[in-house]
Amino acid sequence: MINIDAHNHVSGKSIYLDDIIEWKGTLYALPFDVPVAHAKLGQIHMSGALSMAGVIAIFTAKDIPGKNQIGGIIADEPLFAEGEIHFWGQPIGIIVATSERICRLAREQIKIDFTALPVITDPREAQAKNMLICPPRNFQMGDVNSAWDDCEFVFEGEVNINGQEHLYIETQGAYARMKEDGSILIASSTQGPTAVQRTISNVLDIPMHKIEVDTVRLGGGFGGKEDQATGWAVMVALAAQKLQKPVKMVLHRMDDMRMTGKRHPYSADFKIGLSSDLKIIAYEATFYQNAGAAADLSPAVLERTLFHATNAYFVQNVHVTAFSCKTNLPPNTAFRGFGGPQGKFVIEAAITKVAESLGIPASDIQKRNLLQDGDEFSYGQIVDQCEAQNAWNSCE
Amino acid sequence: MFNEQNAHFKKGVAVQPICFGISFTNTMMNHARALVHIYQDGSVVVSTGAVEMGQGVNTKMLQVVVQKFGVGAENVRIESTNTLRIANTSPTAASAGADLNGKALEMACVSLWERLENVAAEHFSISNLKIQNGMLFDGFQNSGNNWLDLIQKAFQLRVNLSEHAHYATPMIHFDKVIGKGHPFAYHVYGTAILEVTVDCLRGTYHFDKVQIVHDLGKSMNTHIDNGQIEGAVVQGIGWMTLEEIIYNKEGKLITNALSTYKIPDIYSVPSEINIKHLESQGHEMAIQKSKAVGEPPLMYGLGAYFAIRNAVRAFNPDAEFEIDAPYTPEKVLMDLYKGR
Amino acid sequence: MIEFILNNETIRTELSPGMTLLDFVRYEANLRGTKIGCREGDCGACTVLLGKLNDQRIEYSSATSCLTPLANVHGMHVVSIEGLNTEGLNVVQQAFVDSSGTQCGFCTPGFVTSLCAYALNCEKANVSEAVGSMDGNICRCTGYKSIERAAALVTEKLQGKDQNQSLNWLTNHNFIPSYFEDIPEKLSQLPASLVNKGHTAIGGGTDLFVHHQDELQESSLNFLFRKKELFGIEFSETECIVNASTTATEFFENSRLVSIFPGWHSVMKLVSSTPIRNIGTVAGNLANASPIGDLTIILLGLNAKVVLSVNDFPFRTVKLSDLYLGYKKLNKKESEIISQIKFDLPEKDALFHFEKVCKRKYLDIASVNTALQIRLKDENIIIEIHCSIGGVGPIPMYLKKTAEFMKGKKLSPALIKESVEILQAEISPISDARGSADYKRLLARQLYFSHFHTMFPDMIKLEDLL
Repeated sequence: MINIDAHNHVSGKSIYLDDIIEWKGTLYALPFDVPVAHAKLGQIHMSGALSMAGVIAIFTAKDIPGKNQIGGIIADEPLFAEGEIHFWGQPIGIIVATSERICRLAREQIKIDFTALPVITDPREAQAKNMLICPPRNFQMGDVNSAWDDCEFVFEGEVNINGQEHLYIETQGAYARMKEDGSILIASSTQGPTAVQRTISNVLDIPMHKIEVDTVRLGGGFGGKEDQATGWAVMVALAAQKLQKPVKMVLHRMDDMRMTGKRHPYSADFKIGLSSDLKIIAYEATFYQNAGAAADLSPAVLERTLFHATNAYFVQNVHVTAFSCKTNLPPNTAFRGFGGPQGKFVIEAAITKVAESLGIPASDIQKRNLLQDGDEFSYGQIVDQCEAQNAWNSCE
Repeated sequence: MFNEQNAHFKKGVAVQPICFGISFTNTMMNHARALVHIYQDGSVVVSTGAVEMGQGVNTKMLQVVVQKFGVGAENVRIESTNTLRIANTSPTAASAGADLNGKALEMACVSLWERLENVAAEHFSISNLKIQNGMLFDGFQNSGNNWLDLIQKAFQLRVNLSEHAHYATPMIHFDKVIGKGHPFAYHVYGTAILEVTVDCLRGTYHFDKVQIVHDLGKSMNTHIDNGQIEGAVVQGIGWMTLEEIIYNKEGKLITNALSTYKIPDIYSVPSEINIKHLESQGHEMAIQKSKAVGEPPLMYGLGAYFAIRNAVRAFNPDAEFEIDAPYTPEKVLMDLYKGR
Repeated sequence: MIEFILNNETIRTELSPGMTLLDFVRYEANLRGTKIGCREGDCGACTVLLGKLNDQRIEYSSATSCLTPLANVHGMHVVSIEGLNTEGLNVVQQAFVDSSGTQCGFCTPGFVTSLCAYALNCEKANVSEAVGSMDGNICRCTGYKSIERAAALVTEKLQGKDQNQSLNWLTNHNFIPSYFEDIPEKLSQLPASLVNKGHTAIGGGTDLFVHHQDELQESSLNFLFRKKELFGIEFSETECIVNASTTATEFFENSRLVSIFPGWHSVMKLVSSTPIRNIGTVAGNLANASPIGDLTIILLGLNAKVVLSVNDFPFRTVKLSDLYLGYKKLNKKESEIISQIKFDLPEKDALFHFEKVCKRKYLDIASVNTALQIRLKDENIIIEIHCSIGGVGPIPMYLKKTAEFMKGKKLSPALIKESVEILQAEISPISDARGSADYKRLLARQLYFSHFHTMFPDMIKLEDLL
């Protein structure tokens, strides 16, 4: 069956968030930030913007009725910065006006005082200063320390992997309007409607049953709208509640790229030991995840890096450790693979290093170590219905 | 051969096997709900917790219903994801959207079907109800009655034509403290071979071919699943090659627009992507034994890095290279001429 | 009042002429099939068709509506995805469906529109051109292979296209809805002229609208596309004259230039994307003063001159290499506009070559780009040489010293290697989003070598250079 949306997609009839025909009286919201990654926040000068024709209101942390908190796993991320800025692009508030264009022009009139603080962008530097999102995690199987002596070859190395921008073609956005009794309907371009509902409940201090989140479809998500769609939806809900008017926000591409987190960059050290017949006897790796300024989904992403640290290979002695390092970047988040790809990349790099040093093709090592039924993953699950060798053999 | 004959173009090959666990690793998130209403005119509306974002989950949901009820696709509408209709959803993520929501939907359909079987037995004397193209069959025998007759009769008899079902992945558990357990419903496997040609004068490269053998189990929709594989592998290659996020020391994003952050365009994708489905039995915990497909094939793209590295090494065999993804044309050119 | 036809409806609007066509289509006409992906011409989600009447014949091209000011479509037929819908699906749409060329669907209307533009324009359809028509469209879901398959299906269906009756043939074969056939007549009834007395000169909009949409919407604009005298490419005995409103597409598809410069089309493919080339002007690329403008580097390599006009009168002529004073600083008064670009037609024995490397080969801004024009006479003595290079200094550079060094000498690998030292002394790259300074220096050398190797493959072997 062909995708049931295909007909509407090719004829431009599919409705995405920004295609909802505006309810009468709709206002537009735009987040504003300050061009610094780490700073003590001073006064926010809003009078210039507020005096512009068409500007209705500006909301900041002090306007939040409930908790100024949107963290999904750990409560460490304010909706609007309060006191300090932790990354370049962190929203300080929103401007609400009668058009998007007026919002953008008004944003240029907002002046914000700040005192810059030292910026950390490197995860290893953060780890050295013990700036961690959560306690380090590690998975172990067998005993690597005693295994090194049994290895014919042992290699070590360092690997760096950059992040990745989701680049869903539809940018982040949400649209809210009031219903009766203080209930709110929010159309949100989110992968997690319940997360949006729960977070609005906390920030607006109203029960979840008063919040209806509706998602028709997304113009791409890739993980970038799993947790990161929430903030924008909360902002329009807040403005709708305050002003009792429909309020819509669709991010401009450059705001979206600047303000949202991406796939996590990682830095890693590995040590790999093989027998003379190329069996991987032991593998040790330490991962430094660049989490950005708040947890977002980083602890869960970190865990999946460990789950997939040995990719499709059976290794009897494994010790992998991971640090979620707090830096002054936008909070990095879910992205297709969710930390797994970074875990896999490091062992592939280790195998490549071995292959290059021994002057053999990496595929000799890869093939020799593929998983099979009955093997054990480092996290204790037994391999079952394994297709690793079948897939390899059919591909060759 | 090619590399010996060509001084300034080098080919590199890498093999990239993958193994990816399916389930949220946070066990409590592995559950979903579905709501099905059959209206008195025979039309069906479905809500689940799955969000459609291009991955085709709504199409797969529709297939579940159509296959269970034997009615045409035009009778079934998949509605938006709405917190009033489906509560407490997990995000559509972890490749698990179709499995979790599809299983819940199957359960809802099974309950409705059981009620309809009773109606068919009692009022149309059909003991072995099958529905094909909207017609009611008793085994292979066309009863002459159709879906609408059945629904109207059920409605008259005050049979409940709505069902809400809940599914929670069985068997899975994980102890975070000791780091042991059985966190995944199943694993997805596969292997890709990636071939690249590097222009050793300019430092640019192009992927000639990606050959993939992928374990889909019993794919319930090859159009959608192949689309997921092609899209994911290109996204993975993009990450390993062109896509470079640059923050400066002050923490400012330098690649802050599409003019500076480059994702693959129609010209930069591999000339050929061949996908072969591995003949495998599928897995009971996958929806209709059709294994989750969203994330795993992205990891074939990792091989892009190593394929390029092999080509670069063919040109510059003796230098020491860092391992620092993505392998942008800049890094390629610098490595090609490192120490030369 | 701006008047145009949007799909099958005549629009008369008093809205600001500097408003983007995208905003008009989506939020005034409420046609939401045209999407917003970036508002800077880099994704193609907002692609529309622009139909222009040319001697009773209508010519359609794709354009990014996000960078097109409303005034620029006065008198034109604007087609959004809704205007391409026929009963059921048209051939292009059906091909996308049949090959699963759409996933999230957000980019899809743009892709369909671009491929429809190809169906309207193509003479002898082939797959690689059909794919190329979508070079300005970005998709994040599909990996493009299914879109390539859609292009192949469409190409097949286009094989019988009747060039003489193309609109009629395309309607009969369900590529476009039948109302298209009435459009030329309707367009001919629209007033040609538009009151245009503004201040800030604007051509295609592909530069200024990237960063200044909000200001431009209410600014007083001088729309160069409304000035007839600025259109077209002219030739004298010895000279090519490119008038200011010539688009990049017109420049690269000019049959005379195509015959003079072998590989002119492959150079074109390296410059931006189809929908941008269709609206962006050659003069605009020069006025933008980017140190890395592709057309600027090409024209510097052709040793071009520019005519600066004041109030529509030619005022002075300067060499292009003298136009740039510093980063984004032009030897040009605010009142002056570039009205013409002139360059000598190359002698029969002259060779010209352009090189560009960026992160992504197409639809990207160069890390380094460079052009070289050279003439040799007996015994390979260089009698004329012009070399330009971008991305390695604050301005697009004409390599005066390098050229002077080479002139009069016998071309050889040794000479080229020697001249690279001079080239390296002339350039001053900095590290930025397009690469580190070290990379750009290395790349400059490589591309410089590549010029000679490509032009004289037998005489200049890479082994002798590297």
